[in-house]
Amino acid sequence: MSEKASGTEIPVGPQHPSLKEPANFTLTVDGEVITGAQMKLSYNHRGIEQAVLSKSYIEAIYLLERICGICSHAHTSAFTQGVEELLDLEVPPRARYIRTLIGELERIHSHMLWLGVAGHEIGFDTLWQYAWRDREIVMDLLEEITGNRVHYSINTIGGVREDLTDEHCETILEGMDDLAERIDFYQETVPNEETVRMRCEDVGVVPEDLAREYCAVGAVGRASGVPTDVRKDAPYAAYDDVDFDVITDDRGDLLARTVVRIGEIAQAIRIIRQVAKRIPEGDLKASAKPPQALLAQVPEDDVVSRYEAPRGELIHYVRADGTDTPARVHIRVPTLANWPTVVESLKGSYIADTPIVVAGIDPCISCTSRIGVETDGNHGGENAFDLDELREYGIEWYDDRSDVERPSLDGDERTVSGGTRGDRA
Amino acid sequence: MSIPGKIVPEALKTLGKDNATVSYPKDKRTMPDRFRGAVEFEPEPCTGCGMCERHCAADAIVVEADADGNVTWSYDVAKCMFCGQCEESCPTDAIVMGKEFELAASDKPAFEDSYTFKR
Repeated sequence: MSEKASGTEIPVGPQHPSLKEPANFTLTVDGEVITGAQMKLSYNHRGIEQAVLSKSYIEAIYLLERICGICSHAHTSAFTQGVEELLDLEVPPRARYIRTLIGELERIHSHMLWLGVAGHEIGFDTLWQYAWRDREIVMDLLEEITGNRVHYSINTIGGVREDLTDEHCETILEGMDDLAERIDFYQETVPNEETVRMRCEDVGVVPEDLAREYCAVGAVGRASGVPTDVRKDAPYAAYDDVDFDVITDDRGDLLARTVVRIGEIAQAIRIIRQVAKRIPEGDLKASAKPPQALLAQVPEDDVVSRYEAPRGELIHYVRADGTDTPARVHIRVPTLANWPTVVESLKGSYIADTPIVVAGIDPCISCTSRIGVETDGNHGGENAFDLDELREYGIEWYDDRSDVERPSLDGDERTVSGGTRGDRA
Repeated sequence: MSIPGKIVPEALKTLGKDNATVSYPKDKRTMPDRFRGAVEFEPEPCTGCGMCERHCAADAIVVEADADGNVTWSYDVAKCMFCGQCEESCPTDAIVMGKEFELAASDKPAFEDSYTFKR
């Protein structure tokens, strides 16, 4: 990913490189044209993978839900699907339909949010305001069905927590009619709009071979002609019971990504209509046992669970050691898979296109930060540190840089548990 | 939007629409039935089993019992993340997710709620 090129270097970020999240790009420029790009990530490591090891599977759902404020249902679904596979639970059809419904409503709200952000990044604030106003249709529906706009908390191990009433189905269908009208409008206007075309056509191009080489996922891959979609490739929830198309485009530029995402909203509406009309009667949970009884049965095993989040393929790895807390959880979010394409497509773009090229993959930067945690001593490569080595590395780092101030010991004391918190008052 | 024939009808339609936002705090939205606000606790049905504490990912609920059989159930709304798992886990429906959402306060004790009762 790192390529040195001679010329002027311009740092973009880590504060707010375009979105309100930290990532750092060092751009080498020749005049207005970017000739080389390097990126640095992990400015906001939150330690969620470590924190989840101290929580039971039930609690972990709510912790993992908070990885992302946009695709919260994606994370809980991926995790609960994994735990259900460990427990060998058959999720009832009604629960699978409800998961599909929430997942698709979430996809609409995520893509509408992106459409607004993209409009804002190219200086087209009318599109931003329009898209976010129309997104409220979906947000209100989600709040009505689950009780919350963002963290739906509807998934539980073995099924879902809330049922869908007939009135809900009617409200959903009405909402979808209103939204479909708006999406028709966007499908007609956005790709033909002069401002959008000028800023997005042939900008940030990711050709198909590059998308394949760098394993681009989600709308980025599909806009470059790679028809990857977990919903089709390995159907989960109720996706094998509903009809929908995988939207692809072969241009690979930002305009193609916009067209693909709007097309996916239209497909999501199609799926939601089918779900609301055809949802089968039945139980909401696979087992009537209380959650604690289920947790006691988790065997010693591991599982990989895949989910098509709005941004692409999301992978959760869960290893169980026979207790009610997981032994290891690893999360690969779609943004991480798409970063290499950003670095490549920045090269050759204009400096002014940086915000929209970065925003074009719909990045979720704080979801991306992960650190390797070694649990059994077998996976350490040459980049692996133990605590003492890490300490030594830190001391050396400051020794080499006499102009950088060392963190004071007072600062350390505050983080020690049971430390001076009371004394400060 | 500059597509001919699109801008004028869109502008006219938007003119006839209400504001998309409400003027909070003067006007307030009605919360949907399933809205999850601050936890409401009823000591009467509580058996002190502690399942709510065990399933609380945010450690907002603490259940303690002393040697005389007194149970203390305490809740910190500042830690709560309103997932509703305690309501789901409670075997006797002593916990209900309420509708209260304006929970800001300037002193810490105002966030804490505690009940002591005999079991």
